[in-house]
Amino acid sequence: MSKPKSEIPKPRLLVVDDEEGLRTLLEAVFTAEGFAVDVAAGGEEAFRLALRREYAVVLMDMMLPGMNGMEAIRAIEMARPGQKFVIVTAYRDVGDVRRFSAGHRRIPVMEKPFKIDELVALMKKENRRRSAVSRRRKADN
Amino acid sequence: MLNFTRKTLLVFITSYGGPTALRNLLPRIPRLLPVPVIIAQHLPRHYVRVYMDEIRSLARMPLVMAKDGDTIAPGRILFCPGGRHSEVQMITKPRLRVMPEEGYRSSFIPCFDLLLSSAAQALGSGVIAVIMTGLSKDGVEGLQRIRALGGATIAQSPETCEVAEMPLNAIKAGAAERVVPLDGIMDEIFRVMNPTVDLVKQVQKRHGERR
Repeated sequence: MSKPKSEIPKPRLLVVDDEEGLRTLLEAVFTAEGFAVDVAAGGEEAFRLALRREYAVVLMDMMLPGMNGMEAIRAIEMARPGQKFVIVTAYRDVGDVRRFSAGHRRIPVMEKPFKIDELVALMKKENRRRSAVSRRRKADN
Repeated sequence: MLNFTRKTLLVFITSYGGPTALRNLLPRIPRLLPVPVIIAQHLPRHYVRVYMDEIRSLARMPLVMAKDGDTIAPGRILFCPGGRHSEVQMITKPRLRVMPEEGYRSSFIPCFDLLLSSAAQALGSGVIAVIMTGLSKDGVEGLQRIRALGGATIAQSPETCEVAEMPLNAIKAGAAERVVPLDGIMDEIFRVMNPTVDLVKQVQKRHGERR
């Protein structure tokens, strides 16, 4: 028998962005969309959170102070191989980000400024892809 | 510290999936282990310290970030720093040389082949090396060198790895003398190190292990 909807744990997102206003906004948006949401202001904090718990999808801003978003993704991937990411970027050279994405299982990239509906749709899509992968893994085991 | 074993260094190398696997392994390394321990994990430069802060409380012996010139001695775990290469040298005592990434040509930082080959060169058959979860071929040549010089080599069994390629590559190359599940790695090391560790375990059982 399937569990009542209230007992099913919400998929958890990690939103990493150094702009506090944007973090707060995205936290509110994704919470309203049925996700549990953690936020981090930088790569180091994001890595620490990812060591402690699994996230369905990590939304990573590329322009982080000090250690950039690419390094943060590399570190989180070491701890959580197969982690799903979505990159948001305001980089002037988006080409660098796209090359990085291509070398990392084609992480979806969304340029700032973005449309919130498109970002929500993309996060939901990545969460579905991740759920399908974990279902296949369970079936294989 | 009692050391009847001829083993003089224990090295763990790990890459993708390592941060989780090491959480499982660290509490199993006894405080009184009479052999120096080195851990190397592929991680971007600044994240090694963050990771160490997260796992320090799990270790029974002091876990320290290795510095250039550190003596390799029992009683602490040296964790190789990020963004730099590490190699073992014998300068009256075994020491760790830590060098900038430009100091050695490798796609991997720290380079496991360099670390393990140098350990084999410096300490010969005294080395025990363990290759754990990861994606690359880094470390396979180093393990082969250790094996060729009489050291012990252990691979985490692929089915217990988050990412199996690294130990699989070692197994395929004949570089892994023993293959054991993650949970059994320390017991396998105790078997290699007998009889010293057996004594240490007896003492710990008698007096209880204080963390």
